[in-house]
Amino acid sequence: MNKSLDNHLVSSYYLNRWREESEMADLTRLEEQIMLSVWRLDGQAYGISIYQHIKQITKKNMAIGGIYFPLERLVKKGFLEAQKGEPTPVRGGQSKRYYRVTELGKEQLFKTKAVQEAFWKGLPPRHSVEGESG
Amino acid sequence: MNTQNKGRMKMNLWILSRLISRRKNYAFFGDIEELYHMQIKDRGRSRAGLWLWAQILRSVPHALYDSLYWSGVMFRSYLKITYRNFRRHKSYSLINIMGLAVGMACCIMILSYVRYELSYDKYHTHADQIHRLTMAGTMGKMSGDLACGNGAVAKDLIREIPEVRNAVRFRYIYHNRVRCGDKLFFEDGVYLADASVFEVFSFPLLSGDPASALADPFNVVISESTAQRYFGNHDPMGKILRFDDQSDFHITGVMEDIPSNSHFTFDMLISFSTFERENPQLFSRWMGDFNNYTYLLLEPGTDPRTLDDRFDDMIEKRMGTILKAIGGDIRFVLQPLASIHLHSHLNGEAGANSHISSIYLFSSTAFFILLLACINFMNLATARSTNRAREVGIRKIHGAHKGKLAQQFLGESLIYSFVSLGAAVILVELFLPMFRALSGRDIRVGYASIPWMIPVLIGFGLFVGLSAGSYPALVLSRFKASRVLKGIWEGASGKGRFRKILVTFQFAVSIILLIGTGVIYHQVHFMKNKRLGFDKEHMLVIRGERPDVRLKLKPLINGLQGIPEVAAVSTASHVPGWGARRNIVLPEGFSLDETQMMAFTNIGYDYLDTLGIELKSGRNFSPEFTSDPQKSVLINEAAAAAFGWEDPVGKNIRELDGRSRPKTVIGVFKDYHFMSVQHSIEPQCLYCVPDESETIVVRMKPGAVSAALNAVQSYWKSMVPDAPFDYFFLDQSLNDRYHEEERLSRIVTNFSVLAIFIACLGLFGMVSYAAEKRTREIAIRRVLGASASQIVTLLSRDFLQWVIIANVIAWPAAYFAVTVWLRRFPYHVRPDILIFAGAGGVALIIALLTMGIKAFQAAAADPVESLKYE
Repeated sequence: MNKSLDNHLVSSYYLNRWREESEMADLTRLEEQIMLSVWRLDGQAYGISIYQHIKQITKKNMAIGGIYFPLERLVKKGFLEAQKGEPTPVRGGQSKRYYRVTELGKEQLFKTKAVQEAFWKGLPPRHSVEGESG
Repeated sequence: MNTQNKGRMKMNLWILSRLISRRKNYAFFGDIEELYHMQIKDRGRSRAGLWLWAQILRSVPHALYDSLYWSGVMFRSYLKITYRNFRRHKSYSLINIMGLAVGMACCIMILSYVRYELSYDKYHTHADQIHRLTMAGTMGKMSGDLACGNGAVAKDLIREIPEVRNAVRFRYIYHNRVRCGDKLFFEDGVYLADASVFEVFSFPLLSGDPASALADPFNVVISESTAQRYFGNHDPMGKILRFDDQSDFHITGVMEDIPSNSHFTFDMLISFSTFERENPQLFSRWMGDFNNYTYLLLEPGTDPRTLDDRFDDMIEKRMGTILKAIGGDIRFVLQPLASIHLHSHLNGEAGANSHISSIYLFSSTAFFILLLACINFMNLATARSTNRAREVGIRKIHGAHKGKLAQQFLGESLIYSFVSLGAAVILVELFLPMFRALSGRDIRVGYASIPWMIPVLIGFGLFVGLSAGSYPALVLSRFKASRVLKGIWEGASGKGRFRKILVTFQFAVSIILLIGTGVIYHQVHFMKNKRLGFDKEHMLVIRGERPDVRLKLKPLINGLQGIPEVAAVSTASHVPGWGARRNIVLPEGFSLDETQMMAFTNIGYDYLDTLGIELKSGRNFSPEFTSDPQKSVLINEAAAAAFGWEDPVGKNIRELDGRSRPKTVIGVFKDYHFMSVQHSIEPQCLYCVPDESETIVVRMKPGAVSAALNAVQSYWKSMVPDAPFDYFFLDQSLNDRYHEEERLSRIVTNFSVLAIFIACLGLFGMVSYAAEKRTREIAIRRVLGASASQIVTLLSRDFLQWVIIANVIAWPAAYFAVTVWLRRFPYHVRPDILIFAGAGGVALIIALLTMGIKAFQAAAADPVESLKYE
């Protein structure tokens, strides 16, 4: 009895430490973009839709692997959750994987945004910078 | 069309699926295929194909980064766990690291020693073409192999055998008194050498012409440090060195000092022609004067064995008749230069060579010490395994599989092994000077200078880490999560036995090393104290090979005898321990095909009395018999036995040197060791040469040694003021003969102490672990009234039993090993049962102490505290 409780406490302690450590780590710019895209695509977010969404906004050409692997990393960290979709012939019989932002993920996004805004706070908007220089 | 598409798709994606699991990353593969189809619609098939290739190529780095990312996360976790384990079990971890570090340091040092021993004479450019010409065979009933030979052979070989490209002869010159201006030194390292020496060997000249430096008589080439001694920073070239106040030698070259890893070393080389021109009779035929070392430079690729037939032909041609007449059979044997130091133990070697068996001995010691340290590691790690079972369980629950866990524990042991390696390198740096002094070798580890040293060390760390970690990794990773977390430890007893077997093995090795130490020490002690057949105490030996000493020899001896502290005085060509001249003889009653080999020493009157050598029959040399120097000899019992003479007195002996007449045996003396005790006593013959002054032997009265020394010295100065008073004590010079053995015994002692230390570390760890595991049991026993000593017995009994079993294993193995080693000595001790018992006892006591300390701590702990803790 005593021992199994002990075990439970030990393992939950380490799990919490692990969570805290991964939450403490900042999101990278790409991770932030991916998570925001997933959120926006709300229920329709799978590899290609996310890929095209990001490409459209950033105007950058990128490899599909550059989206997929960070996506899976975010899933493991608990910021996204994934669900297997329907297989289609055009995909060579392979299923889609739909992503959704978790509550933890949203919290992290707000934190990131707050940090961003805190840095911008008090700086003049774009047109005034242009006005000063010219 | 569609099938063709599919084919290409498959090819692209097949490559990708080799790198990334298709099953796990189904979405990724699906996305790619879907995008590809979009591309076909937009841009056409061929460009879509290109696009697909580009996509795949550009995705690979992301996949790689991903896998690195996760192993990085796990690696950090492993590091963290390793560090936490280290901090939580400090003593255990330190024992582990210390044991491994000591083991590795020993290994590095011993291997450097072995490497050094194997490097002898390999620095010569033509090392593999240079062979030493030695003689093997029999003359009469005697057999013997000689490192040196006749001086005429070399030139004939060059002339008649095309494969012999060149040759060098060396000849040792004894007792040289060298003067230059007001500087006077006694030089021991002087050889005659042929002019070709700098062509055959790679002894670089700092100045002088290698081709002509030793071409002319009375040329001398000196080493750099010798030049420093005589001339400081001045240029020695062309200067003159005066030998024995007789002959002047011109310095025609300065060579670099001979490296210490040479089988013979010298400080000066004199041109061989100096000697050859003055003694042409010695170089006219192949018989007699076997005092020259001959080195042949063969043409590249020559197999020395192919020369044997031609050697035999030449021996037949030049010595055939005489050999047939005396019944001798002589062969030439070529020794590769690099093998001399470890494999050659002939008569008349130029220096003390090592024995290949020491190399085996050291290598296996290094191996065993490292093995002990690895075993410690395995033992302690598996002993601790129950403590880590919970960690294993939790890791397994979170998805770690067996391979990952094994990897983790292997990684951990690798970290330990590399930390230990770092510590070992520091230890080596600290103790290398000591080891250098201990081994008498100029050993360097040379991390920077030897290119393969660092890769080898890293490989070493990997090897130790993997081999020491493999067993714990296997055991730990096999734990079943469900059972472990329920608190069921499996198979503890079976694994306990394995650990105990390992401890037993460790102790067995330590005991073997201890016995080895004991036997080597015993043998050295035996050789130093063996009855030698003469008195070595209070014996002063003065070197006096000079014309002025020889001229005044008679009054000198009389005067020395007059000193009250002096008991007796005589002269000899060789004092005991310094060898003897050898030649073949024809004893009376033997035909010319039965000649015998004998050792010769020239002595003055009173030699036997001065040294306390016992005369067995007949009479001693005496001035009253004026014919003694010309007609009489003394022989030893070994000679009488070899010739089968019941009553030797009155028999004749003729030395076959072409000049001597037969001489009559007037007496037989008891065998004494005229060579060091490592050699058996050969037939010996004493000539009476009272006017020779090579060495003057003075026996002093006991208790007045320093007074006697002073008196002898001042008398010497008054009689021969120009001659230096160059002396040594016989017992000291005899003890110097056992340097190699003493060195060996010191090295083995040190390493067996280390081995015991490592084994005890292991034992200490095991006992403390056992005590820890049984804390509650011990506390309850204490509460119920068990005494401290009962607890100590309880904890130690098991281990003691295994230490005793270790003795049973170690004794036969050690007995075998030491008998093999002792066989090298003609006079050796029998392995003493006391040494065996002593080694076992020492191991037992050390084990008891180690266990006692820990067990007593456990027993003395407050049971209340222990029970509360549990």
